[in-house]
Amino acid sequence: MNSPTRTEQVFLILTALADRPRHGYGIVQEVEKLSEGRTRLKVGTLYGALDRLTTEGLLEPDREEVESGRLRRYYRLTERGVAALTEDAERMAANARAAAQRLGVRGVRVSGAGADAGRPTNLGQGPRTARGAA
Amino acid sequence: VSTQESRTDRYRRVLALLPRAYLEQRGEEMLAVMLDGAEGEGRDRPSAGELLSVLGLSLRLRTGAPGASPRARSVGEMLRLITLIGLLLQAAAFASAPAQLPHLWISPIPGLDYAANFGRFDLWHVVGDLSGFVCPFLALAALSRGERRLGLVLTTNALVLVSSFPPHLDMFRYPAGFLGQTYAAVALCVIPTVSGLLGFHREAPRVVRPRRWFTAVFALAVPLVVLDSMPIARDWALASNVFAVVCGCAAVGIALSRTRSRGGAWPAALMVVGSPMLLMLPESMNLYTFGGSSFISRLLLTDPSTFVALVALAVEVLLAVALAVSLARRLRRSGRLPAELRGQR
Repeated sequence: MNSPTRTEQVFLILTALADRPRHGYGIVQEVEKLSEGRTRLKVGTLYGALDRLTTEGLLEPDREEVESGRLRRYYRLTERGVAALTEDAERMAANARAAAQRLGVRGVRVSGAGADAGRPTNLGQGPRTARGAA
Repeated sequence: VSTQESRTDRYRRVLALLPRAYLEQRGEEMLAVMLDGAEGEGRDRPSAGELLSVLGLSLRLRTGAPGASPRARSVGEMLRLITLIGLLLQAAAFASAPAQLPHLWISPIPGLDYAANFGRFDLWHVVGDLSGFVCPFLALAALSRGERRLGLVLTTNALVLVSSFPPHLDMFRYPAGFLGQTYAAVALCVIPTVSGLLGFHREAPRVVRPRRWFTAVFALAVPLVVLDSMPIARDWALASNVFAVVCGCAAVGIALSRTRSRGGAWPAALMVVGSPMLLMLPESMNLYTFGGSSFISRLLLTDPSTFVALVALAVEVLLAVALAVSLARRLRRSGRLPAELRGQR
């Protein structure tokens, strides 16, 4: 079964939680950093996405803390979330390699495409080996 | 401290837009995120973007987004059903456009007058008519496949037809100016579009059994196109009027009789879409009694469309009886007390 295509915002939220649990504002800051300032999540968008990802079983609440009188609820990726993010990352990397390869034919070098840029790839069909617990 | 308090109050007021249950669950956490963001950016009050963001979340939560209450999920389901059923009826209502167009050039039907039935005949009107038929098809396909934005853009075509194209208020091909018909036409265009914009938000669940919807639109519209292209159905006023009344009666009848067996969203959606169609009932009665093209004069002249008129009358009478029976049953059922309460009397 093909996984649904996730938006860039959702991909960035999952990525922000890949290394450790974060609270809401921590996710907003991390997403902004990851996207180099292109994406700044508004609170409605953030919580809409958190609710959906929690319902899909990709995230779960980790713990709650109160700092300076403010409630901070931390979220972390589930095993299923890790698998989904891995799948998305591999698919996007495969697409990026394919694009870099095609651009290489025109003599354009893509920065950050890595040493794999010239290898043949399966565009749009990311490797299916990393589903993990999904 | 007072500045901090007033800032907190301002953000609390914005968050008060959210449904109460959600606010109790998430409010403090969201407030912390907003206050952290405000401090980071040196703001004292919520920005317009934040306000819109919370307003959007509030609307989505009230129409079935994840985290919404069961009641809100039912509302969302009902809105999406209204859109899909409305699109079906729109496609059927405009079925005469593709049916009649070929006859303009290929094999003219004796007595057929496009201009008389469609208002003025020019390219803009023809394109409008065809879009009224094609857009609901494509919108239904797009929404069923999860192409939400494309589907909603196509759905709004009906609003364009109503707002910028007054002759298309005559979408049921009935002599213009009848109040009931105009209301019915506007309702059929406006209600599904507004419901779609509210119900098919980005957090909305996918349409269940999408192929059935696409099959349904073919099953309803294609026979109508075939029927409308036949010489016997050249009186579009009659055929289209009958179509709307029949659909309205059927929808409301099913809604009244199936409230228990089909769950809450279906009957409510059928009622919302079907009720405006019933506004055409008085005009339908007019059709049988007035003017030189009346049902009675056709009957006397043995015009080919007498058959259509007879079938139409029979169907409408049948549906009116069914509607009355289902209404009576429902009233009787609602008046019946549960056994345990009867025992307490």
